[in-house]
Amino acid sequence: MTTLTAGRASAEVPGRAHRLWRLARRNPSALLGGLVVLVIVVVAVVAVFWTPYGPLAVFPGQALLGPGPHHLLGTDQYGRDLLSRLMSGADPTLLSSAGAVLIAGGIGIPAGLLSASRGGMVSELIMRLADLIYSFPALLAAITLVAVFGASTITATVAIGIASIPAFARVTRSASLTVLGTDYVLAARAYGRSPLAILRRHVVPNILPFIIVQSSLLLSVTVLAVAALSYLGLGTPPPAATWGGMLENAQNYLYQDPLMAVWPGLAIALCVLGFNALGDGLRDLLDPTLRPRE
Amino acid sequence: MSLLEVSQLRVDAREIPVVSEVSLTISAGERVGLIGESGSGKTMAALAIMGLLPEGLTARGSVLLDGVELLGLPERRLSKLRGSRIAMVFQEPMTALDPLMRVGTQITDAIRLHERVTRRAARDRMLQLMGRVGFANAKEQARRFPHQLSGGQRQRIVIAIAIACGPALILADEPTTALDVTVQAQVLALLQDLVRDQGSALLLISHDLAVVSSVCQRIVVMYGGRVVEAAATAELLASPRHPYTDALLRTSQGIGAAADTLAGQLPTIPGAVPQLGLFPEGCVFRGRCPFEQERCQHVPEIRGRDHQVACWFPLGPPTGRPAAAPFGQANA
Repeated sequence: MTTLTAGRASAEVPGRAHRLWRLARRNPSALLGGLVVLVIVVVAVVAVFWTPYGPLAVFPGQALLGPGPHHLLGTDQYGRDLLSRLMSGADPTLLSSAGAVLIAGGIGIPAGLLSASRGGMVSELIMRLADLIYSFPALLAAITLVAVFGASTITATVAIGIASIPAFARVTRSASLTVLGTDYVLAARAYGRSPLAILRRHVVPNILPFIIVQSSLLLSVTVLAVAALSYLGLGTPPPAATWGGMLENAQNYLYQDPLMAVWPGLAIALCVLGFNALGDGLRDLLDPTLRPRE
Repeated sequence: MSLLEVSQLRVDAREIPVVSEVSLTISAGERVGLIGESGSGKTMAALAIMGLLPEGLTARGSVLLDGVELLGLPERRLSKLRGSRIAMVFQEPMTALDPLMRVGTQITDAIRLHERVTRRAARDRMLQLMGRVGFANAKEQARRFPHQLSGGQRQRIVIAIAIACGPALILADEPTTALDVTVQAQVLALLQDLVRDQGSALLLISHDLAVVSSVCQRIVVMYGGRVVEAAATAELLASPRHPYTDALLRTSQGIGAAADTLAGQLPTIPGAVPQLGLFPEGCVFRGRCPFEQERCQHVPEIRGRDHQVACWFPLGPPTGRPAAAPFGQANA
């Protein structure tokens, strides 16, 4: 009861900071996840222009150093600065996972909409096709693609993107079916909106929250997938810094320098956790049935 | 030529008939009431006319609007007619508006769907329409979202959308049922005024005899998916010929009289509306009718010109009250 009154009172004082504070209290998960994601994105952007040392710069005399004043996180077996590599590794990770989500959404969302609005044979065909992709091991598909086109950031992105299409198609379809069954869609048909216009004007805006949440949750999956592919050498090829590649490299020096494996592992875990928390939090915020009444 | 001519309309949910042999004509500017209990098929009949039947339901027969057959018309042509020639007001104003769209935009959209007007002209029309349905400061209210309006306000928006392009026929399916009693009368009066001003015809669907008889010139009574009686309002109220109509009238008239004449008992129709698909063969009112005879095992055809009735043993001549056995007494 007290929180409700407090919410009311603060509602009279509009302002960014106030709204953010209310959001944080209502949903710490969204805020925490958002902050983690923000930090990682900022690091990735900074890394494009500046890193303490060049991510590929070799210092032969300073191999396998632990954390220290010159190299904050230490160096690898060639004497490359781990912090610089970690920072610049954020770029391919974020670009690849975001690209994969874009590919998955770009194909999955229209497919889901089409399936929901057409029904019948078209719908069946689309959803069985989605099942087919879903049942095919993503890793196997990635290996096949790499075998044909060679290992590269783009190959990994496309492979993960295709594997993620069903996730979008299904969420879009089920959310669209709910919207298509509502009274306001019936009312819109009754005043003469065409089926296509109903999709554009009513269905898409109303399923947008689901799409946003799904994108955020899917990003956590694709981050992990990108890391896994580069760990296996199927992603961005060395010597470019990738979190998965760094992990694979550190594996050989686990006894000499165990911390070397900790940093990329931590980065991957934090990134996955961040997107997951953000998606979870957004779901709670955007789901009207879970939202407290204002 | 009548504006709407429905003949032998039949709606099936798989094998189960929901609406059977419904015939109905509405002339331009006429206000017709369609009355029946829930489950009598009145909403499905309306949706069939609009071509908006839910999936799995099929309509047969004929629905002529301006002489054009609507059943089987492709969706593209139907959506051109909907809103411009024929419009519908739904029962539930809470859900009939898109929650993410400003109410003004929803009206403007309805206008621009059917008329090639500029954004500004459509907006002016929208503000004018909102004024006509009783919004004092239309400019401000148009920017609101549905959840910021009351049920009565929302239903007035829904009505504004329905009348936006001046349709020749408006189907109103229980437009006041979901509203507070205090607002019901307002909305009903508004609907009646608008329809009269525009010269539109109105098919008012309701289970409330009082609502229908105050607005409509003619009343069609449905029971069990069939039309059992149709006549001018005054005629129907004064001398119902179908036992079901008669019973319906007694229940609604009896409430006032209940206190003194029936020792506080409300008049009821014995029995309950059977479940869908379980209606008796022959006359649908069999089993609840006090005048039932052997002949009622066959479906009675609807007969008569101005006062139509589907009953083998209609009550009395159209003039004067028949000496019908009152309900509640066992019949021989």
